[in-house]
Amino acid sequence: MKEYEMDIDDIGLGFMSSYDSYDVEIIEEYQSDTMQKFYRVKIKDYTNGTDNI
Amino acid sequence: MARRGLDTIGRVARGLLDLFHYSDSPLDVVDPAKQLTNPNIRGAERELSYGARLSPYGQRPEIVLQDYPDQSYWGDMQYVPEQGLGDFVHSTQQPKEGFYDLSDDIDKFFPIALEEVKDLAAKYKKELTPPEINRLAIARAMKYVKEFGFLGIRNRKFRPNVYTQFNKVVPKEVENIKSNSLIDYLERSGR
Repeated sequence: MKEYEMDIDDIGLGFMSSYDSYDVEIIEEYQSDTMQKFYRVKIKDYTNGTDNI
Repeated sequence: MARRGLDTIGRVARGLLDLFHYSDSPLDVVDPAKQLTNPNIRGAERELSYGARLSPYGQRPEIVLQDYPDQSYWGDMQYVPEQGLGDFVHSTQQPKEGFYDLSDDIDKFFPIALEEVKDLAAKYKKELTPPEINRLAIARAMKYVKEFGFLGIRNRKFRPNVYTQFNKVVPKEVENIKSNSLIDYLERSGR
């Protein structure tokens, strides 16, 4: 399992959170004045680089 | 909101989804290519759309993985616009089934894209960090949604009232929300 932080938008958040191989925790929602939302997230990544998710 | 509700009862009954895009000025066309030029989107956030060079510097042909498809953002009837989105509301109607719900990712675009990005990185001996891999895979998955003919994407789980659209949209109506009211609407419609 790898653990890291990354920036992501609402679409990307949706894709990753659809899969059990990723444990996604939202740390911060950006306050941009747009309909597109951005997040700083902490990821627990249970893929090992070769396995299918 | 009440005006919009009155205006759309008939449309909902026909199975079309009413969508609204907000901006500071009236637009003839809502262009997805302009989404990331919004000055409120900061530098770090723009990086989400950046690609990655896979081939070594100086090598030709240059191989760059850059799949992010431009998208404009739209809210449905239940979407509550936040302050700062702009007073001009652009409306359109689209079939709800035209939007890919990535909460389910029923066509498995993301895992397919993820494997492809890893394979390409291995092929070109490019070392990518896990966040870079994820970012590139997300962009590639979005591209597949577009290539499969969907109008756009929705994220039912996290943002159930927001939709994106890949194509340019000519709004059916453009209104300034500060200059309209329910009474204005009723007078104009003769009710």
